[in-house]
Amino acid sequence: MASPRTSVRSRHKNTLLKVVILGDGGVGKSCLMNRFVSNQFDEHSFHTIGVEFLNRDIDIDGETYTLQIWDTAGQERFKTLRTPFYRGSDICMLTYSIDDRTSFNNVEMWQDEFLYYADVKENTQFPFIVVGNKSDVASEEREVSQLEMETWCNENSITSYIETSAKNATNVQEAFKLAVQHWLRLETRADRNAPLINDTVNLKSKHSKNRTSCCIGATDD
Amino acid sequence: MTKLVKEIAVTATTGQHENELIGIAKIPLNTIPAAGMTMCSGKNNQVAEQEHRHMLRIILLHELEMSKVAPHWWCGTFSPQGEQLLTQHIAQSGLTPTEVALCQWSVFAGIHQNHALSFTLFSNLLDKLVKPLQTGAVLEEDVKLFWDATKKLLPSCFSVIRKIRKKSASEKTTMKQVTEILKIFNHINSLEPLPSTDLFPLVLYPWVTYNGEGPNCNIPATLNDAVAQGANDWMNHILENNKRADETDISKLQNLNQIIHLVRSDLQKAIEFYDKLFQDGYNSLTNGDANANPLIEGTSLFELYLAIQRFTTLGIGLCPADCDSFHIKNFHLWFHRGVAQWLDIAVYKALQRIEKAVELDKLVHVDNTVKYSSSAVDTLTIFYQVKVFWQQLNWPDVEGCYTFIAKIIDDICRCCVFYADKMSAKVDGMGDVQDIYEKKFEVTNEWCLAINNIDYVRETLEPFTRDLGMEEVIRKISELKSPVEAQRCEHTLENVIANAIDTVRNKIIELLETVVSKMAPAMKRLLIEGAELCNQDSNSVDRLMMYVDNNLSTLHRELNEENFNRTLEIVWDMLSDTLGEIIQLNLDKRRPPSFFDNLRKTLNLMLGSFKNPADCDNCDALRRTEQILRINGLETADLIHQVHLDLTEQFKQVKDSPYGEISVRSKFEGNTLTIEVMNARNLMAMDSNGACDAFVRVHLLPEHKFSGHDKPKTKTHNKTQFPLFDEKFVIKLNPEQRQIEDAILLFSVKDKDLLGYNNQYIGEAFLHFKDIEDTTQPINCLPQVHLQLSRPTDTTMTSDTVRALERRLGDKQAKEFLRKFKQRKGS
Ligand SMILES: Nc1nc2c(ncn2[C@@H]2O[C@H](COP(=O)(O)OP(=O)(O)OP(=O)(O)O)[C@@H](O)[C@H]2O)c(=O)[nH]1
Ligand SMILES: [Mg+2]
Repeated sequence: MASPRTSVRSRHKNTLLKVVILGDGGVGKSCLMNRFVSNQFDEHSFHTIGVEFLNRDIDIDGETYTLQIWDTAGQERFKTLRTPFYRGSDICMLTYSIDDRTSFNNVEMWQDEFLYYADVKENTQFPFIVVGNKSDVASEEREVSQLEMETWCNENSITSYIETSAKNATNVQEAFKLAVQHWLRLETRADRNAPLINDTVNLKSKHSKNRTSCCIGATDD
Repeated sequence: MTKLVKEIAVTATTGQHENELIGIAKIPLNTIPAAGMTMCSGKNNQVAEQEHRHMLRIILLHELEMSKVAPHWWCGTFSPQGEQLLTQHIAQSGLTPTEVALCQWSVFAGIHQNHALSFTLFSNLLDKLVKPLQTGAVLEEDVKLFWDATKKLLPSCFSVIRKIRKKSASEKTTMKQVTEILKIFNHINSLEPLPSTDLFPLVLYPWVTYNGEGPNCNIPATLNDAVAQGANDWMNHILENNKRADETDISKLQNLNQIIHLVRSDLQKAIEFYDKLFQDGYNSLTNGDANANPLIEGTSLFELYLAIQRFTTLGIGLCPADCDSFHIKNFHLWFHRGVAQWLDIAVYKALQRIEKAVELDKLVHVDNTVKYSSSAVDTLTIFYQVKVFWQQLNWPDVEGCYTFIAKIIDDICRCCVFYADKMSAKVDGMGDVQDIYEKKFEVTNEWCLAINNIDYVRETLEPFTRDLGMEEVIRKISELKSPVEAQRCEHTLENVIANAIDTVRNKIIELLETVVSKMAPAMKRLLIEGAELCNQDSNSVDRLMMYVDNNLSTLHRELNEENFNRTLEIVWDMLSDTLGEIIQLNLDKRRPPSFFDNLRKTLNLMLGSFKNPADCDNCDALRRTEQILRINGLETADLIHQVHLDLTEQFKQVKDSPYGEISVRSKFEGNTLTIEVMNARNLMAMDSNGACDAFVRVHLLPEHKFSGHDKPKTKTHNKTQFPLFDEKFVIKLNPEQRQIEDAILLFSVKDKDLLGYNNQYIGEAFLHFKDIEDTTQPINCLPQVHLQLSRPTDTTMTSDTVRALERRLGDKQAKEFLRKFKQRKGS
């Protein structure tokens, strides 16, 4: 596998976002990540051991964000190994496979597991995104309809959801983009702009002060 | 009945109490009339309180005796009679709720020593008392009473914590009890103890590890000790009770197994039941130190783990043959959940220590050979401790190992970032100075040290992570699972490391940017003042120049080369941004070219302060900005000439022009310029019949410097695309004109309109003076020069020079030039 890391950021710093991908074993989490990061798909991928990690930059509205993506192992036996990685996450991707009803039913369990171990402050909104993977499968194999998923999301106040296919690269970029946009919406950006404004105001006032003193000097002569 | 009331009255007033009252209290209390109590009124509060305490004590003891309340059960409810009696006393003596609560606290704590009461009772009382005690609304004597009582209460609380393992954790009441006790600790911890109180006398608390000075009132620390002591006691206890009956290997192992099982169930219990509880408990504790509490719990678990690890090794050593069948071989599985917690603890401790290290850092070089200070060294030691922990853990399961290593690397990265934040917070605000002229920021050694420190820590990240035994783990995964999977794992670890290093580097850049942005206002001022006042006598430029010079010297001296160069890059960026702003603002204000010229001079002056201005060569943004400045600083005539010079360069690249080519010969002899226009070829057809009527005009540029001369012109050659002009022009220049640098010849080839009004442009060519030979040879001995004809293009129209001309709205010369220029471009 070729190194998917973006070259070393030389002198421009990006906003770093930690993303965790959760969901039952085999729903295609690792494939989603690999599709997103290196645009590859592996038909016979192994179950993840513990966690996998990759990062990639994504541009949204002219800003670059570096996503640090932790892909976790969905199999039950890895529970104690994956949960320590939840803390400090900025974004959580809850995945299931549209041809596997159980994996969809478990989404709620995954959300609970995340909230329990991530130490998310109570009563704060957290950017969850629900991703129904394997949208490429034949319609007779589909077990969860899009409507059903949307209904569940609405009932659970999750506003970002999407169906994807890691296999034929449908909506994979979009899913990550949607997640970051959701994060952006929750992030109050007011404080980021404040110092800039202050700075310019200061400069101007100083400048005009200098000028007035010049004029006074001139009239004195 | 009267006897009791009388007794109460007597003891209350005299302050003595007689214990035989307990026996007498069997008289039904409901017969006491309200009027019977009036004698108590009118006394001062002190006495009333004393009375009330006494009454409480008698009634409660009576109550406990009568209804045979179980220990830890009584929760504040009196029998109706008792309740009535107390209410009446309160009403009549005018005691405030706080005073009543204080009385209760004192009496209950006393009784608690002999007959344990419910902890809920105490925690509820504290709910009422904490506020008044904190705000000083309580009399001094009462405060003393409060602390005396507290001292009586605490031992039982700690004893519960210590013996936590004797209770069944699944029972609701146990959980409740621990919760209430933690609440009590929490409350008391929020109070300022009297200076004289020694809450934890060594006699009662022999296990406390307190080693501070003066009386000990440290609740969190004592709590930690209690938890640790509890774990220890319990460990000893099970070791004691599971003594081996005989010395055979088998029994030894069985015995170990048993112990391990006990430890395991304890561990599970701790994690299942108490972990969350303590977590919540400490989160609410206002004092940060208290956070150590679950840590102690975890630490003692870790000690247990190590003990079992040793046992196991021993067991395998003793009985290698059938050790596989032993349960204990997989003992680590019981600790799975624990490891994650230990790692958290390790990070938590590391963060605390880092904070301390930064706090203690005096920001001086560790010694003269290095450029970092103490906290960098301390931080590395702290990392080293994490590594030792990992090595001690010697985790047997490879999948876990791999995952935990990833976690540790990520955590260490977090520590680095934390360190960087603390470090920059420490130096932030340093270097802001104010003198008679202005407020400004000076780069200080401390700032540089902070940057060097973080960099030093970053450099050790990679070697550190290698020491965690990655290769070994990857090799084992490859054996156990498959090489492909091992490769994926390896890849993840590599990525996590690279990401960590990147993240910290980002942090350094952030810090460098902070430094530069702090310098920016002063540099901006320098540029603007320079532009405004360049030729005037002003020391402000000198002053600001010194500023730049000083700060850069500090940075150069203190930072390593890499970081200094990074700083320069950021400075270049900052400068070009700032300049961009200034330029735009002043173009909008229609400042004269001299403003921009001065700005450029100031900029170059400033760049001269940099140790190596050549470093700026690879900074495209700044170079471009400077170029724009230069252009806007030119007078209009010079600017026009610049357009032509640019075209000269540009046309040199042209090959196979659709407009055709001309052949010329030219030479200088002294100040005399001779030009021979020989012919043109393949001229572009301008007429409908596919030919043209061409002539060539020669311009000497820049025009304003050659104003005395005609612009020589050839005859028109009709209806041909291959005219043979063969015309010679001799122009006598004055010596100054001959010396003009960058003078050029412009040959413009036009198609003559029948009426002569509307000559069409075919194309043009340039010849630089410096490309014309200075020779005494006759011109017909010189080689012909073939020049491709060309025209200004769309790109020319959007070049910086043409743009600058377009901005000179009120300038006639610029306007006129642009009008003609557009014609030359054609359509
Ligand atoms: N048809 C189809 N198959 C997919 C898609 N994504 C993944 N798969 C297949 O699903 C299987 C499991 O994919 P993984 O990405 O390894 O699943 P995972 O969620 O990472 O599983 P764990 O690592 O065990 O948690 C693989 O055989 C993939 O080829 C998809 O979009 N469409
Ligand atoms: Mg996977």
